Amino acid sequence: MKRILLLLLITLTIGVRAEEKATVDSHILTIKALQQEAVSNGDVEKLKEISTKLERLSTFGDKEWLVNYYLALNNYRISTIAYDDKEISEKYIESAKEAVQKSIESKDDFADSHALLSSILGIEIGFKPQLGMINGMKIGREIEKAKKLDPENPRVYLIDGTGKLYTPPMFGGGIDKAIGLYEKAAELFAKEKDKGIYPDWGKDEVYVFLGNAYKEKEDDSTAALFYKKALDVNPDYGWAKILLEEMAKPDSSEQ
Amino acid sequence: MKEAKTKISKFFIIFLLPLILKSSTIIEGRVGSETGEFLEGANVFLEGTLDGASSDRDGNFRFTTEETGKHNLQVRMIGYGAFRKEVFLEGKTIKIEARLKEETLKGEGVIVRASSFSTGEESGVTLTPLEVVMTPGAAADICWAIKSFPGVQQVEEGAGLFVRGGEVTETKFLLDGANVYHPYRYESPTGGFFGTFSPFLLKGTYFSSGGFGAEYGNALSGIMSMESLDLPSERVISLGVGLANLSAGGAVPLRDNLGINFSGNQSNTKPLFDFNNVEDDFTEYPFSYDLNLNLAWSYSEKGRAKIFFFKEKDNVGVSLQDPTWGGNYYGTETSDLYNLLIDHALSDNTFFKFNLSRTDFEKETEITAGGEDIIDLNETDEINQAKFLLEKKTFMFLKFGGSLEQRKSYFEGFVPSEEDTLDPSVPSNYYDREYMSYISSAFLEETSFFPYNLSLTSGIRFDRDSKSAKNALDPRFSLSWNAADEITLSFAAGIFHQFYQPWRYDTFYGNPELDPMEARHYIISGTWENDAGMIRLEGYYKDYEKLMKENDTLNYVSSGFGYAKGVDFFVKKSSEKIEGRIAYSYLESKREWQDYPGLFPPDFDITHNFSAILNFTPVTFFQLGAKYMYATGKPFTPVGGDFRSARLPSYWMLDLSASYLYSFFDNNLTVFYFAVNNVTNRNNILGYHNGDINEPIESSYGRLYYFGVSFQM
Repeated sequence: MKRILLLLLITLTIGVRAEEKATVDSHILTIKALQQEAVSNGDVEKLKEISTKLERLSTFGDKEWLVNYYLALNNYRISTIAYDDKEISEKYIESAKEAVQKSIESKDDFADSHALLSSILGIEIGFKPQLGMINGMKIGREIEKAKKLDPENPRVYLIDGTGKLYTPPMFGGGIDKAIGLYEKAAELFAKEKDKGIYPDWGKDEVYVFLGNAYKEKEDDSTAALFYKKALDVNPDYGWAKILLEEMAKPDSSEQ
Repeated sequence: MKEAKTKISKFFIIFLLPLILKSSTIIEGRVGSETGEFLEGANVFLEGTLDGASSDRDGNFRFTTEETGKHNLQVRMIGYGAFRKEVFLEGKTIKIEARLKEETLKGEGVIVRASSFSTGEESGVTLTPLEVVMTPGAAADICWAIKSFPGVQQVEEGAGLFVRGGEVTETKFLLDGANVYHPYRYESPTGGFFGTFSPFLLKGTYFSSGGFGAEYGNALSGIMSMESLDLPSERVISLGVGLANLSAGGAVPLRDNLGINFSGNQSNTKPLFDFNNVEDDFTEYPFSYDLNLNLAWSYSEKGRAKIFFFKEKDNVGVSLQDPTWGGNYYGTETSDLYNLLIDHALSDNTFFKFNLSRTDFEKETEITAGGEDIIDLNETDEINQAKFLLEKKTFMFLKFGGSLEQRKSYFEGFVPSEEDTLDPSVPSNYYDREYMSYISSAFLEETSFFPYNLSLTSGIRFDRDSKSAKNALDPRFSLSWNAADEITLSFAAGIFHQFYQPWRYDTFYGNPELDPMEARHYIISGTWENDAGMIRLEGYYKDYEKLMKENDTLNYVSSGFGYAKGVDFFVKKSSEKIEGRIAYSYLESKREWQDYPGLFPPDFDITHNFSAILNFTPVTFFQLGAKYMYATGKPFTPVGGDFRSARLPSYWMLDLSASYLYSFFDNNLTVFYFAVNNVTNRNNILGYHNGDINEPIESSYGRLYYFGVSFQM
């Protein structure tokens, strides 16, 4: 009887430990899926719930850098979706910056974190134009570092492209440069496989950005093709749907 | 066998039961901000678990956990610093009150530097009302709190801001952009005893000790810019009672886009002096009250308007003890300020501000000796001002603004025929004069950003005074370099002018030909700043010209000159429980002005000025503060000695304070505070009668105990 009880105790203890060990990974997998869904639907409330969960997960003492990356990504998503509410958006972008910096502090060689930081710095300029020059330099540094760390990472080119799209040609940006980078990202996305707990977002997004770039060039038909392509990749992608609906409106060309 | 069974049972109880029958603990409580506002959506959880809850609209939260033993509870919310507390989970309900500290958005420091005249702004210090109140020994007064920053010299025991070897009138005050000409209560030639505005009327205060941008004119040394409260987001009523004060106020949102902030304060120092058994010379204890009404209206998404009304009245009576004569001083003053501010965004990057303000000031001063009036003067001052500012922020910044100010002053009464001489044997003159002057101004400022994190701000300012018919043209520039993430180096230089008060241009008592005073600033600055703290080192040189000098035939002429040079050092460090700052200023200032026979140090040449402040928060609801300040004694002319060849003994003081926060019921925040000023009962010497060291003028502020309570709901 005593032996049985001891065995039971050992099994229980090991069981508990194994459960804890598995927790962070399995939570990340769940969160990744939920995050993708919330982004597709532009659901800020859902994203806020995810941030809450990630904040808790970041205290588990396991893969803190990765959890902080996802927390940063999540808050970055909130900031961009809620961009019209300046106060909220600014708070979330600052929080995203803090989280990604924490992630980089614990793991400096993760390309996705550097790329995300560069994108966050770009959004920050939107709130504080005076940071243009200071952040501009940092954006360049971060994206170059990301490329060096992982030259085959499609998100790095996607983010670089978006940065170039909104940078005036006199400061090294421009639509054509952006399109080139988006195309490179699309090529890499086509090769990218499911990465488990690691980030693999952007497969659908890259086509929306390509569409946006062509829209900037006033080539609406190509833009529409890319928005449709984004929907082919992810039929639930709300942003692509909205953009297509907008284009379908009769007065859209005047807007 | 029976024994084995017992052992197994014990074993079962000790080790297995907790695993199988986990007891659950309820954790509940409330999350609020430091300012007493309850926070919705805060994430409250046990570290290392997913157990937690989000706070509801009233800041309440409640959750159950199966965890046992020692754990850390964390409360997080976007825009606030995290709260952590160790809890012991044993099945009993745990109650938590968490106060989160609002974080200023990171990177804001960078903006402050880059957004305008860099070095000027870099020399700036932004203070929130809470920081003012938590400065030990500052008596919840903004000017007193500012005096603990570098670049401000301790010259008198009062609120007067003497900045970097400049005289007290060289620091200009603004409220919501409107010029404030009477910023002190109990006005005196060295400023006044307190600042006019309570920190609770204000959202924030910005102070610059030099090199400021072309936006600010008619000031030689410093800028103190205050901003009143904005649209309230919720109804708040506050009451305060202390040994020397009574206050009531509130904030009421009337509609989503319309709200009102109001307050009334009364300050009566008699109970304070009585309680502390201070031997004083007051014939009438300093007494003041003020009323404030501030209506804020967001008339559209793009614009807001604010109407600010403020009234203040104070009076004081003191018996004067001079070795050769005895007399009485009585002074009373009232000040009304009205300000309309319109702040409108013309587009995403273009902003327009407009101010219309009026000040009415009245002062009555009476000094009598042996039943005879030495001074009996009534003074009124009326200032009307209109001002606009246009700002465009794109890849470069542009600022353009202008203002027109009308000032009418009226003096009537008897004053001694010799200025600054109080002696019954000196005959008095009857004075009945009215003055009116207009000051018109315009400025243009541009900031460009360059590669290698360089930014250059250049500006030009023009002012014209109608009374003297003189113009002033002030070019200013500043270069700033973000050498590394946390390090900024900058250099600023510029010309600064200041006109006299209208009566100085009087044909009979003054000189209508006086030029505006002039100062040239050269500042070099280095700042290292990150989340944990800040270190700043600044060196400066100020060249003064066209200062007022006494003249036998013309009364005054503009031939005075002088200089000030020095180094300011500032360190600020904060951690979870401790916040401290140290300020040190070295200064050398000399002038040949007024009746000086040559280049000599003025009263405000304080060689070393040091202050250290420590705030310790052992638990969230309790705070202890300490401040030590030291200043070299003022120069003076000893009996039989050379002109201004001696110095008073050094001035120093140690102040302690403690505050305790408590919530009696929902939405209540009560702060109990206790302070001891001049803990060591240091007898500071403020001067000598006629330069005779046997006749010291001692400070009447020995050890003072002060306590009170403020209540908010």
